[in-house]
Amino acid sequence: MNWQDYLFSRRPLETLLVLSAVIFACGLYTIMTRRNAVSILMGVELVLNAANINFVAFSQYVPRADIHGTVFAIFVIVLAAAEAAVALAIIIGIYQNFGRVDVDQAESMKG
Amino acid sequence: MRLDLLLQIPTWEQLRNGPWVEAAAAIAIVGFVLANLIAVYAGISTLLERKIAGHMQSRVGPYQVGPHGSLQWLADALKLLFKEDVIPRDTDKLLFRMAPYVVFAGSFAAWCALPFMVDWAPAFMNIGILYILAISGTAVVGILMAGWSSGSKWSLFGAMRSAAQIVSYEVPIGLVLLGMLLMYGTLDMNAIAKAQTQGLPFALNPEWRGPWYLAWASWGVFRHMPFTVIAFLVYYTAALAETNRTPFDIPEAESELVAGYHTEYSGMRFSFFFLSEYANMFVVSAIATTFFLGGPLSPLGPVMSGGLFDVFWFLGKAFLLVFVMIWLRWTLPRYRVDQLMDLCWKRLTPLGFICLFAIGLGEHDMRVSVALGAVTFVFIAVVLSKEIFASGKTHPPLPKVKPEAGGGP
Amino acid sequence: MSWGEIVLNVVFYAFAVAGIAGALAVAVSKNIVRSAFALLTVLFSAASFYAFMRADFIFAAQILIYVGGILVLIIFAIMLTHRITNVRLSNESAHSWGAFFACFCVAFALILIVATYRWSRVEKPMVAVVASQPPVRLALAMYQADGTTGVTRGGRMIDGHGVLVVDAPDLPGRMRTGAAARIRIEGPQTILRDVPFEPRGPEGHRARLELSGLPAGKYRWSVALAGEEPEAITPEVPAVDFVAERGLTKAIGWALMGRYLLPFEAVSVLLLAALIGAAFLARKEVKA
Repeated sequence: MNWQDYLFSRRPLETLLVLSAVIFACGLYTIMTRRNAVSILMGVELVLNAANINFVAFSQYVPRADIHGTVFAIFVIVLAAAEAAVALAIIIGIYQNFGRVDVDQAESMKG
Repeated sequence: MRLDLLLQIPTWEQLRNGPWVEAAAAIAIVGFVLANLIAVYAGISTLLERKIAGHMQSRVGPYQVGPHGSLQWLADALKLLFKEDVIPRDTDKLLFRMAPYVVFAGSFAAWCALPFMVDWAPAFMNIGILYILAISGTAVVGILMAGWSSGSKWSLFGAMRSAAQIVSYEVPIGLVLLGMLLMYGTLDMNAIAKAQTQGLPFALNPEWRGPWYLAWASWGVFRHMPFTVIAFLVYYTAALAETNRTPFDIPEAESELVAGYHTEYSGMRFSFFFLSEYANMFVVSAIATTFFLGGPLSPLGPVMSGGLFDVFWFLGKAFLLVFVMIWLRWTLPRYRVDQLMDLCWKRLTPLGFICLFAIGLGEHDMRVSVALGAVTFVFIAVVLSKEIFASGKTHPPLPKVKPEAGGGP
Repeated sequence: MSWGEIVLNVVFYAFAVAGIAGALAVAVSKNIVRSAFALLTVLFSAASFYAFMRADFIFAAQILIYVGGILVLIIFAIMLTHRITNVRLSNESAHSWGAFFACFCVAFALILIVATYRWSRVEKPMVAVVASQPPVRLALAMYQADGTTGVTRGGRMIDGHGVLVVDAPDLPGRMRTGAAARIRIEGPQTILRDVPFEPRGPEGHRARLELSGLPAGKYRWSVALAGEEPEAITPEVPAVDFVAERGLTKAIGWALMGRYLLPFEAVSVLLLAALIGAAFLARKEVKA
């Protein structure tokens, strides 16, 4: 199979998994290095999206997985929405109390 | 979802110039046709809007270019094309350049799932209505992008207002459409339109196909009578807010915010916001047409139906709703922000829930539908008659203001 | 390779590049608002991947909830927690080579696993013995339209496109030329077709029937050699061999209202709790 045939055949499962792995790593890097709480939340969304791509890819390409991966992806999306709403409410609460939203600034609850 | 739009143009198969050329040509053709369709539609709508506004205010509107000013829209488009493209200094250049396209893409992409004919749409989609709602909802992000990157407080306030308004009004829209979907049992726009060829109001006889002069009785808006009509009104009101039209044009309120989120834009970029506003108006009207008014179906059953007649009916119904939007703009004053949120969360959302619940019950059992409909009709009649008979007498007296000596302008 | 496929692939790779670029921008952009708008491209690319996987419902849900909901929330949060009039909002990051190295290792390990592991794409083929003279062993398998992804017994054939494959590992010598498999499909659409066997080297012979645009519904298929009456694949008669579907919506609906009803209700309770909690946390303190 030459490269043109490979590039322009139907996307195999592996292409999607590699893409999601890259997105996952970017999300991880965001979570590890950012100070701003909203940025960290964005990193979490990236990680969730990468996981979701995998769920749906397996659901569509691995015969045994059938519909279950897709249903799980729906639950992940819904939970991500709930998580984002609560997290952002907390962030706004932190902003009102500390005046900024860097995670290493909010340390008054440190023991 | 299949990209049938791209896959189903057969004639290019015969050219045999090698698949690459055909692929490029197909992309060019589809883009060209859709972009021009939308541009011409938006141009003519702006002309109509100005003409209608003029006649409503006892003026004639644009009159110089072409007979009765009928080519004014072409002149406007040329003017916008050749205008200098000003980008203010305090902007985020990249986002400022991108924002109009994001907004436009959102309202533009929704067009390809509209059922222009019975059994034909540019793209056949199993999830039609969900796709349209989702993709036209992305315009919010573009609006926020435009408002923030402009680096101007008018833009930012306009964008925040607009985003809050659009996100809030998606709730009643979703609720009433959910109620209508209970009747149709599909998300496919073509199937929804076709489901309205048969059936009687109150779900009395779902198989009924009446004489040609009663074909309109099968439309969705008559299905569970007061509730579907209420759903239609709720949808239409919320759609007005969704498209930032008067009386809900708070994000663009000229007297407060200059021009809202596109204050800083000029030339072609500004015209993209303009195009997307008109494209959005058509999309929400087309959804209302498909869900409530039979979509591309002729109101006279088999008479004048099929082929281009379908397109005629679909566009005719949708343009009628667009016309009402324009009409309202020159009739109603603007809401305040708190009134807007009050209307959404305290009026339309509960009404949407009531419609959802009542339509569900009615679909479950037609006797419930008839009984609920009768009770509600009586209730509405009583309330309305009270309002009408009371209105003449009980105007609250105007508060008396004592003019202070020497004070006040 | 048709031109339609070329278009789809070009679009796919454009989205893939945009997605990776967006993810990198979210990770390293100096400007927090640009990070947020870069997230838009990532979310859109993810949605487009769902579309390419023909998971249409997830595609719409992704755009509706992520782009129309979560992203707008995030942008609002940024604007409420920063001095918004400043266009160049900084987004400090504690850049460290350790973190970079760790993430690089994670990505490398994931890609290595993906590239080397052989994912089970195909169901073990069913074996049928066709009662001709002499009896012939046939191995039956079902694939999605791409020809590499299998369909489980009773599973979904996406959009009614699929491939039915009949392998004959040991076709008797006198039958090797001109032999054909007679495949019968029963369901909303009935198909009866003779498909010639083609040699596959040492692996015997194979007949391939490509299906496209089957109407949605449940199907049974059976096979025999040409000139004979098709018989059921296996002795114990299954209700369904495959289900042709247009879109995922119906299957998801059945799953949510059936097997996943309890998680569905739990999620709805959680959403209510999140709604109340967020409203409580974000409200203004009312001074008594």
